[in-house]
Amino acid sequence: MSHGERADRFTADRARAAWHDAALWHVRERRDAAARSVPEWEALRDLAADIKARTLANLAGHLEAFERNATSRGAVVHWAADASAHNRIVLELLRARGATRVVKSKSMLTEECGLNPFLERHGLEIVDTDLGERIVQLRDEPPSHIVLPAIHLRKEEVGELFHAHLGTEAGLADPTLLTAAARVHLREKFLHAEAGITGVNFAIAETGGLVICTNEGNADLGTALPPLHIACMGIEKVVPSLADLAVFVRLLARSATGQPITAYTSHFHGPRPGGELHIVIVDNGRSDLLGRAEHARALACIRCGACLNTCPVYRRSGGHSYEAVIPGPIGSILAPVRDPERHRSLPYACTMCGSCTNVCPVKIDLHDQLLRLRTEIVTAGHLPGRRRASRLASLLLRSPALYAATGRVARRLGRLLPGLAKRIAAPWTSSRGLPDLPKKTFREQISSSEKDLSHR
Amino acid sequence: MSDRDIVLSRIRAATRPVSSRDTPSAASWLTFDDPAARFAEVLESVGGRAVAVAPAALTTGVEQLVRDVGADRVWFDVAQGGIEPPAVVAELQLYVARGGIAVAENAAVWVVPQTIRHREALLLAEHVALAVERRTIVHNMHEAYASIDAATAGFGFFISGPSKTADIEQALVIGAHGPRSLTVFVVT
Repeated sequence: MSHGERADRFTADRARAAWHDAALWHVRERRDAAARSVPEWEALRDLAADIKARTLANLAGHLEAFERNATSRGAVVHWAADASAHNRIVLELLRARGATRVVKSKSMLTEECGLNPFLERHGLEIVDTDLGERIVQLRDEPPSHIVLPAIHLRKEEVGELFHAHLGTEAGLADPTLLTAAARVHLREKFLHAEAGITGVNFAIAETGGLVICTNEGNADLGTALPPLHIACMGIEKVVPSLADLAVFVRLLARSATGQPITAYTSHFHGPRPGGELHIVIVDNGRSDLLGRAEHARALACIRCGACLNTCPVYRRSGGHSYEAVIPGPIGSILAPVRDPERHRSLPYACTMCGSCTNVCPVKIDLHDQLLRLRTEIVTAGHLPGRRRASRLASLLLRSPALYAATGRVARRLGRLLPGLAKRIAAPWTSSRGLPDLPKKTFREQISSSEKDLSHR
Repeated sequence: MSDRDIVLSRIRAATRPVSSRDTPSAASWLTFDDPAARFAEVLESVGGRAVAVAPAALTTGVEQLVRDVGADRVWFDVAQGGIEPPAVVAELQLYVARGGIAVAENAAVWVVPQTIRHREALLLAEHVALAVERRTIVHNMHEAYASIDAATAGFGFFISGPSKTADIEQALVIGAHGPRSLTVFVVT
């Protein structure tokens, strides 16, 4: 199924789709206001892009420095070549300590590795503690946005879900009361957890430290209470120094939600007193991306979600229509680079408006990469139909006589076009009409006006 | 080969030298005429509250806050003779702690909890108050990272306003997991 076909499921509920579009545009506007409050915003973006480029140019060296420094502060560093190695490492750490109740704060990497179902299959309880993540976990579906995991749901649906799982009153749909119920439910999980798993926003090579950003404080509770903290990070999360970190901390929350900083920006250097800190560094295809000259810049992504919020296609089609771990423009690069056959429709879920590229805090050339991916996908033969269409177009455009003939035929068919369009592209034409076709083709108009001129 | 060697050798094989670019200059960062005023303004905008107090008035200010939030389980570890922590930190209604530097551009306060109990209290208490010294307010995050020693702190965090979420229909709810209110006493 293509992105477009999956988007149909989302747009079938027009009120929901319109709300989703408006809600995300509002987040984009908040981002704009936050960016404007910093006069050196563009210089910050340049600096961030530059730091990322230089870090990726010596990624192995930075990771080794990070490992050395983290180890000297008492953390234990593990390496995982792929998702299954990552899951195995986490499971073994939990098993060795007899931990069966685990709390987890937001991490797209563990989503990518399928950690939750893996641990559940091995009999562990794993609870996502970010409110939006908990909501989608209870619904047994993936997050639809990397920063706002439950943005595809209306409050009434969350109310029904909490009624079924948390025993809230039937019909309760007030966000404040629902959040309060989740707070009580998750507080219980925090207090009884035997281990906390977190993602990582930034790893600092020169100090061996980790930085995690949340608004809810769930990563902090999940690591302050249980004695075991497992932090899972992709190889691209490392930044050289704390001075570099300042640049990213200024950009991240402003780009994500328009906040000047997240409520909590937590710095972990070594384990908590009496506890253990294990850091799992995961490749899982990232080194392949690093080797792809045309797409390596996508590794600079700091997962702010700004490109999702601004994307006219994402806002109108919803995150689940991408059927990828990470949706939106950045996901439409990451997924097809990894598996072009399966995700071949994603680079086409794009209007080439370039808005994603304009808001990206680390200046990834998003829409340029999407255009290149289309070429790569067609060249690799993943879209045979499109290749035939290009050949046909090329044939017509090379022969003026053939081109003129098709113009005449097309004008005859033009009378059928409104009805045809309605059947082929129903959502587009349901609220849009086609303009009337002129009586003469452009060529006919030109030649008749030439005759007029010669008569004078 | 271990996964470590596999990953590092794959990265090395894939790495290309970066085309030399001029590092953008980091000459001028955002500053404010009155950083304390900006701090208070931004703190309000993220759901917190700044209270300016003279050093001698800090205790009075805390007592007023205790009455305002109607707390009877309080841990006040700022001043000498501070109240002892209750046996169960999870039942704290108000925790008052000392903050490090504060940042004008985003209302963040750098806090390094001395023990794991202090760290828990900052997250589990219903209400949290921090005391910062006005003269330690810096303009922006560049100055902030230059003036703290995050690495030797072990654990430290920037706290900007109370815990919050907007995960249900983008409706902002204060008090997601952590404190439902954050008051910062700016001591002059």
